[in-house]
Amino acid sequence: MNPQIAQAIVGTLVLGSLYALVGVGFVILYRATGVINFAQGSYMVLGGYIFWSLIEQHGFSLVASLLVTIVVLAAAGAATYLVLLRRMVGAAEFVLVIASLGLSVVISVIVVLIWGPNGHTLRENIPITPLVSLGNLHFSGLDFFSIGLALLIIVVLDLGMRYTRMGVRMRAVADTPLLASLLRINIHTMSAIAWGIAAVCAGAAGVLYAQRTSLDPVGLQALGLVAFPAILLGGIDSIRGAMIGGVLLAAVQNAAIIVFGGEWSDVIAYVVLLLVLLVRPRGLFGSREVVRL
Amino acid sequence: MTASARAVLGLERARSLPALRRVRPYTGWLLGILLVAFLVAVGSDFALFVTGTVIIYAISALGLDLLMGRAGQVSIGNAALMAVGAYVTAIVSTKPWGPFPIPLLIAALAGGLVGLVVGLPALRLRGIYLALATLALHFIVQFGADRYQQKSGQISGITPDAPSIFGFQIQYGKSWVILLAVLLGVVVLVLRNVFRHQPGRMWMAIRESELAAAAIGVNATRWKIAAFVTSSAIVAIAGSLFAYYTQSVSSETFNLDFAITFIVMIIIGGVGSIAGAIAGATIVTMAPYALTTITDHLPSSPLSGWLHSNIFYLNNGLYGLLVLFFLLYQPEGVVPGLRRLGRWAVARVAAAAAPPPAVASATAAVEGDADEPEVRHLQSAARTLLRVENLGVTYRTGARAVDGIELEVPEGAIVALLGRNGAGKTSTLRAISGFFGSERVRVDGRILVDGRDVAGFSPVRAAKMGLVLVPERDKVFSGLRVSEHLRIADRERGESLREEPLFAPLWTRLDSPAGLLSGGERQLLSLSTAWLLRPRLLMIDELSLGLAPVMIRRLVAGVRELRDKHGMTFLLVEQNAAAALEVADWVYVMEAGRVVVQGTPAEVARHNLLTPVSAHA
Repeated sequence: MNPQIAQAIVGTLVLGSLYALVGVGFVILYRATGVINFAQGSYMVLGGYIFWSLIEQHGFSLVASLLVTIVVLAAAGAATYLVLLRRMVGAAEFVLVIASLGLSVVISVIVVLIWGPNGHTLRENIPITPLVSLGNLHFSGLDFFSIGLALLIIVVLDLGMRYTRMGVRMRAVADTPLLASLLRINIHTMSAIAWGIAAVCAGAAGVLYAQRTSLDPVGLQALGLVAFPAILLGGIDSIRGAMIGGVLLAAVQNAAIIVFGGEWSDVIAYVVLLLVLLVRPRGLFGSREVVRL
Repeated sequence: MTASARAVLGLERARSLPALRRVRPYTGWLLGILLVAFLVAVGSDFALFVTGTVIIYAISALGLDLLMGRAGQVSIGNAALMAVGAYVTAIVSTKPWGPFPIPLLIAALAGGLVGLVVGLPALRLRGIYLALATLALHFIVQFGADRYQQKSGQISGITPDAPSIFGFQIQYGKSWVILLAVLLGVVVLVLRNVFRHQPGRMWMAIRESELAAAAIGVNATRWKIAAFVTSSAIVAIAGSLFAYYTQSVSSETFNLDFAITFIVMIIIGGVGSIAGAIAGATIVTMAPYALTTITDHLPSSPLSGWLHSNIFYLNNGLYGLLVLFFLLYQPEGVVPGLRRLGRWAVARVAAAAAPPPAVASATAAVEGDADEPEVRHLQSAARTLLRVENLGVTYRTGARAVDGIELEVPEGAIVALLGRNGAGKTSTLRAISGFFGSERVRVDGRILVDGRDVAGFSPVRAAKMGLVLVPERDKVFSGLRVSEHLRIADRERGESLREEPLFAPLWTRLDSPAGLLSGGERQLLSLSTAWLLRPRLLMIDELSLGLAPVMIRRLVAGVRELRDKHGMTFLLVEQNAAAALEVADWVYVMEAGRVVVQGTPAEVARHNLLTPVSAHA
């Protein structure tokens, strides 16, 4: 196999799993609260900086840094809802969008105030030398770690939503919120949990991205936005769609990099977004009603 | 409070001085002209520079507000449209055929064209999907601009030729500010006229309800695209002015943060208001300068030191904080808020000048309305579980759905609330179960459970008190399986239900999604989930509506059995008199928000329920 194409395939799987991770968090939040979250890039930045600070400034181990980062982000996400969005329940969709835009700005400023404006390069905490090779397909330990962690989080969330009582309650809230509240489900609690999940997903993706390339706030914010085309491609309210859309978008981007060059990667994603919006706004797996709103 | 406030406003309209009313439309213009004249006369170079920036941003915000505030379409593409205007200006102004006003016009044309392209998805998209289309536009334009700069070797930015009118070079400071102020005035005049005539009305109709607008023959698509084109042209003009003003056009300037800034301006100033867009542009542009100045003048302390070293980052994110603050505490924005304050102040002054006529007569009339029917309730040895006293429910539209009713439900009783569509039955149930807590519905009177007033409780709190409502519609989660329903209500996954023969049909359907159940099965499922919550009072809105007679008989028998076996208390709302009379111990009949007949089923059956009860007609 052509080594360039082989590299693109590995890159697609890794980038696609990051999009999928962000996307699954987005979809869970959207279904439970109806919020189109533009702040996921900021949660990625936040996750990246917390992880960097723990592992490089405070000498935590890899696993401990990761776990603490996840716990802090879950708390930060839930706090976002309890402090801010809880007071906007029932507001118009575009008000919620603007609130998430404002939130994104504020989180970015908080990150800069705590850790300063500079990006960082993380140490090689996970080996990037090829671990497994299938012909020209070389997977490094970091590749496995990225894809594996993303898959692990997604599978845990998916099973949790299906088989735990809390997951069923959350789906009940997403299905018919008023009825859920009649059945003694506290919608505020469920919404706070959904925010926590979305923040954890974005934060973990931020950690993985920072570990692969660098801890760069601008790059992470951009990645958080490029997750939108991936989500729309799969369908804004479908978890399965978020996963498949993520991998598909990553494939298109990697193909564009080969054909046109690296600087086309992001803009191609937005061209895909426009095409999806024009041709099939509900995406591959989204439900029809959402578009009609 | 709202009613009295409205009364106060009415008072104000009637009494405000005629002279004041004649001047008021011009006060904005007067203030604006005076302010600009003052700045031109005595403003420092820096003040003039900032003023120019504010005016350009205000023009851009006005363009965006046409789209957001009037037509109700969110756009994240404002920076991209300004970039279109700026690049067109930078390129055209250096050509021999492109002296000053021409680039401005071409920029407007180009902006309108891009607006048309972005508006095209409006053929099938609305709301947030359209906003995402503008997000795509943003990145595509920024990419194109970046490529252009690289290809033409002007990576650090393109410089347009300095503008001149009739050979008179427009320079920084006074002449620029005067030119910009005049342009802003022209934009405001044009917009005011557009908003007052057909386009403004059409856009408002689309914003309020696209469906309703289409129903009365508004071509929503056409007017939406018109809004996109007009708005984009104005924003592109602002971009063109921005290029001239800053003398450097670079793709990094027009980033997403820049685009969001304009949305923030409109929110802060007040959506759908010309003065609001201008005020918002002023506040958002000035806020960083204000914060810097305040920081510079703070007495030395750790806080001021921290502020000082971080002022740059704080100023960068100030608009984010501002917009969150306004969304939480002043969602209507500065200008509508000030207007209300002004009207309130005027009304207070007017009211102080002449005391309002006494309202005692109205109160007397209410008290004199003495033809109330005698209130009777079910006599029971059991203690009263629910007592409703003088309950009233008034919707935001002013409709009074429930008008002072009295109910009593003793423990272990089955009480039915009968009446036709619109009699106020559902509103009564919703008031009791706390449905209206978060909505703008006024509930007055008392709702006593065990003597404790629960009026205004949230549904979750009411459910915790043991009040459970089975709603008329949306009674099951259509995407969840039957077994999942039982799990929501009960940790044991509904095992205790197996003892109730009523719920037996559900056991064969445990794995099917509730959306696929028949009407009767849905009713059984919603009853069973409610039952699993061990309610003290189970309220059922329309037990029998739309069901087959066989199913109705089974449900009615089931309700009686649950009561006899477990002593549970029921409050049923029914349109089907026969079903209710069969099972209830006591019946209230509602008509137009009041209880008109009450008694045992035998007593109520003697009234002919098919003819209108005319006691209050």
